[in-house]
Amino acid sequence: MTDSARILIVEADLLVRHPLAEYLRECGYQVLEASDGAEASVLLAQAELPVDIVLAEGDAGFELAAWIRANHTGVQVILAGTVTRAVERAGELCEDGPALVKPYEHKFVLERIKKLMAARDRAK
Amino acid sequence: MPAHILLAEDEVLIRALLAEELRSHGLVVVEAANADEAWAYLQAGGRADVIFSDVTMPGTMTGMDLVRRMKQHYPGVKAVIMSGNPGPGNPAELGVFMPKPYRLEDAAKLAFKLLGLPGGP
Repeated sequence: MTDSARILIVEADLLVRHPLAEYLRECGYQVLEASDGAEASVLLAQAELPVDIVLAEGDAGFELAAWIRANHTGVQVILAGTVTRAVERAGELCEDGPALVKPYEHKFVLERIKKLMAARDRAK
Repeated sequence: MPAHILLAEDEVLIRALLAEELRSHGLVVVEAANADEAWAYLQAGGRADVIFSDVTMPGTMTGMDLVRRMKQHYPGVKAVIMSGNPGPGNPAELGVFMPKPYRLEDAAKLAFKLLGLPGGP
């Protein structure tokens, strides 16, 4: 497990970030979580936590991607404009992932996120 | 289903290191970047068995406000308050006070003790 690739998820909403991160952990990846670009840059600067792939959702990802390409060559950046696309990309990463068997289909991650967000909206 | 730790900490490196330590012992860790995010997770019905919360964080609530509110609405969740400077109020009235800096292993031991689970570091 310690040798598996490390993914950094950059996502502002915990209700999206946590289910995505847990899915990728169950797919066998090591996963770091950042709520914005500033947090991501702090984590990317840690030599003892080398990041292989950054998965960023939302508009903030574009600026971050340019910064990573200039400062951290060798890190693969995956940009997803929407939550749905981020979950799909996570599904593709899981297909290529270190675990031999997928824990569950990525569409269930999206369903879980939608349920959590609906419950939060009801509680507001 | 493994126990869930809700971790509210705005210093991303502290959060990541503590989260990884707790995960290395088989716990699920939910990382919140501030008290508001942690509260939204609880309100969405997210599972938390123990909360580890920093005190001073950006947003509308401090960690003490969060734990106080949580005790009212979710009394079953145990709380650990982590701070180098808790400010006004007595954190020990709300849960276990863990002064910063702390050893990651001690935090994990505390989580297992509060969960009443064998194992851990």
